[in-house]
Amino acid sequence: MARKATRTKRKPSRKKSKSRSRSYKVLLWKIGLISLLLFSLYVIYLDMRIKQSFEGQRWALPARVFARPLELHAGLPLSREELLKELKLLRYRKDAQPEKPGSYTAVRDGVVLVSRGFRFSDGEEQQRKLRILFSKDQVSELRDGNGQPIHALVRLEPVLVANIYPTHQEDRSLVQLEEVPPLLIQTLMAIEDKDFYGHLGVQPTAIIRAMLANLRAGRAVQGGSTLTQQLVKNYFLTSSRSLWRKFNEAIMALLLELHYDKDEILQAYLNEVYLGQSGAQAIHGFGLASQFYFQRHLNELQPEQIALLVAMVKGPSYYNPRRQPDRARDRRDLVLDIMAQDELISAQQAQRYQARGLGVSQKAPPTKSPFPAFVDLVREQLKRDYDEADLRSEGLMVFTTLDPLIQLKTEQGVRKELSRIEQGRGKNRGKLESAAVVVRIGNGEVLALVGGRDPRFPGFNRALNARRPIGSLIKPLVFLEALKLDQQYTLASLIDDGPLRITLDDGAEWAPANYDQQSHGPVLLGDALIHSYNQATARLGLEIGVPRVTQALAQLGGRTDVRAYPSVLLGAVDMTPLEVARVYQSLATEGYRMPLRAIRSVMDARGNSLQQYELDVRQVEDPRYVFLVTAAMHEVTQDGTARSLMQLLPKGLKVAGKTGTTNDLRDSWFAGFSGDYLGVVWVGRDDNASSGLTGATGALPVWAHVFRDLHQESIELDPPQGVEWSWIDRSNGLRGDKSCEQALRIPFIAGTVPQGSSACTRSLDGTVKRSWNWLKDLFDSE
Amino acid sequence: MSIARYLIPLCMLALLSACATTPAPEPVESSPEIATLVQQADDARQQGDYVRAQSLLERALRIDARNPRTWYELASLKLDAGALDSAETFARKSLRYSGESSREAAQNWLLISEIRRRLGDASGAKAAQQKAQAIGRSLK
Repeated sequence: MARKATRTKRKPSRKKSKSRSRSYKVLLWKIGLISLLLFSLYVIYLDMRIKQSFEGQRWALPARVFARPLELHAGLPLSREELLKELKLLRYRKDAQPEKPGSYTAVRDGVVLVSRGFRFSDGEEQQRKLRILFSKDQVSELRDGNGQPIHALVRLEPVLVANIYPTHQEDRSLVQLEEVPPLLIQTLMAIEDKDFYGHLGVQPTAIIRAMLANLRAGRAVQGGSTLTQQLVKNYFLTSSRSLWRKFNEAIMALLLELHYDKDEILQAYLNEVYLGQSGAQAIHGFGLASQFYFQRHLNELQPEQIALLVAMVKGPSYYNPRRQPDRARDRRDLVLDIMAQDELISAQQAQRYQARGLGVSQKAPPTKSPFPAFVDLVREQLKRDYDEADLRSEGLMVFTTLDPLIQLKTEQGVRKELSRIEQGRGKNRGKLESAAVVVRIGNGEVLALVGGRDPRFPGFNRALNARRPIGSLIKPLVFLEALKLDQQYTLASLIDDGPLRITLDDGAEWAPANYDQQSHGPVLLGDALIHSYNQATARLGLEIGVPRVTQALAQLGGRTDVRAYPSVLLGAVDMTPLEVARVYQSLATEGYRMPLRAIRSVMDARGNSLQQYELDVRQVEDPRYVFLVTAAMHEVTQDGTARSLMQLLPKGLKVAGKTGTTNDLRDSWFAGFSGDYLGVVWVGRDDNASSGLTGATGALPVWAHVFRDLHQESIELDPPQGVEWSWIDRSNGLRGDKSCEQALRIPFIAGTVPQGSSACTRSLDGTVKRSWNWLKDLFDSE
Repeated sequence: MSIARYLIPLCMLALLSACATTPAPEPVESSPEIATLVQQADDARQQGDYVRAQSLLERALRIDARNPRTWYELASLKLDAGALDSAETFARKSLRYSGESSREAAQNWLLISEIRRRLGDASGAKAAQQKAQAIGRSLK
């Protein structure tokens, strides 16, 4: 019927709506769950990313390369000027009353300084006040802040000479929370995040406040980001400030707070915050920024400098103190006001600091090493033990042997002497080049390496890579080998410097001529070396056999692949200055071969010692024979081809060396050593044209420029056991004495002194005259 | 004649001057800094930290590369570490600076004797020991 029909009609519609709403609910639930799931996955993804950033970034640090630290002690040969130079390289500040680390003042005959302290691989050097007094180019006294004398070695921080950067050119000067000045942290929070320790990572009230302020102003005027959010922002530095970005950052901030405690986050922030740009390199972290803008460590900053750094957090480019000094200064002063408001400093202090300048150094410090040639050698030696990737990202600390003072002196020698030489001779103007190596003989450490005339430019490293014929530098090896046949040859043996003409294996003729185009007839073997006679040397070398000489070259640390051609005897062997240094080092040590080291040790970023490059010594020659050759090389500097050294070096300093000049005067060499240092210098032209220079006129003056100022002893002229001195008449190689006209004291292997006496000693008149004088003196003294 | 009267005393004088020997070398005194470093190196060696001991001795060498004591300690360290060739080389370096007839020289020869004994060179060890004893006797 009709009613029944209506009822029936309504029932299905309610059922439908109920089921529809139920299905909507179910759908909503499903959507909700899926969204929640997706969201959770997304959060987990963000979580992974932020954890990776937080923990991963810590390891992308460049390797740091340090020079040798100055090890101070009473008796150290060092002048006050040299110490001041080192302090300048370490960027110490002059301060009449030094109290803060990194400050110094000059006093009468000395220096008072406060060192910065440093953690070396074998111990920590504390920062301390030092009073260093000098007397005659030597440290006479070393005292601490209380005036007590110090009897142990005190090491200053080593000069940083290079960073080996990760490919993305990032760098950090990591600071621990404890090392950061409290004022910096307090100021940072006052300006950027008052309630850092209270909030959960995000501060909704701050966000709302900022949003309102921005809306009112019509643009972005307030941040509202906590330090945690800023940290996240710094990890994923992008210019996009979209809502989506902010949303992500907010979540990641919350996640960070979940995983890490406040102090960890704060420390990460202090090391991550973007604070400027230096070309391709981003400046992250307050530690690095402090160096970049003020050339100081964080703990050396003045309050107004701290204020400036905090001021820059808001926008390091916008508030760049070098490009926008006025803007930077205004914001800095604002920060100082807030510091006073929050009672971090007093109102008077705020005023005082606001009156001060920004204190920022004019130019940004260079990111490239000032000593690229030496660093090349360091990298070569590191490559053997570390692969390139680790080198660039593990924050290794590499302690090298570089002596910055000697390095700068060597660079100066090259620069000045080459200029002087070029002024004198027109044809070389601007074309001369040079390379030099200085080594500490006692332990084989490379102290200086100059790869070219323009040392700051990392171009062709001639010291490591330019192979040039060594010319007469080979001669000491010829004579060494001859002298080892001690029954046949002594330094007094007569050898023939007459003309020499031989036919080589290929039928060609070889007729080496002396430099002065003269033949000198029979000469003493020692004199042939002293005056570098080609003819006598070639003849001698052929007599003993060229293979002996090539073997000696290999044995002493030189090339091992040289074919035994006669021309080798006159130095037709191409070698680099470093290779030459290896050979002469073995001579300077009296026959002990040791590797030339550029690295002392390597430490990891946490201070653990990874590797020590130890002293390794091997005896390769009998010291007696090496002594004979060294004595002759000493005469080279008195009487021979390097006698001009007599005018260039301090009186009384005895050295030994050898000049080297190649055909057509294309290469000018000098290899020489004192009791403590060895130097090898090459001068020539990159286009291999003749420079017109001999070893004595080209390389020697450069060498002398370096060596005249080094603190060193003379070469050891007290012979080893089994060697005795004897007077010899130079004109005939027979025994003589002081009264002979051409007499010279020559060392001999014991038992090989010539038997015969020269006529100049036999004169009876002479004997009587001498004995009469002796008697006369005897009676006069009474 | 006047010449003949002086001839005999002159000959005696000539003989005497030929017998003159060079004065004995001064006993080696290390600066306090070197003494400290050597002591620290010894401590490190006792603890088995040869790397640190070597590092300390190398610092001492940088102060004075001719100090026979430092070279001797290095030789001794290498001996402990089993690097016998290096040990002998360092002992020879020490000999170069210790003078031929000093207490340090005798110690070096004893060390060399021990090194050779461990290398299996019995005759060489004996020769070194005899050298040490000869020096010891001459010092008395």
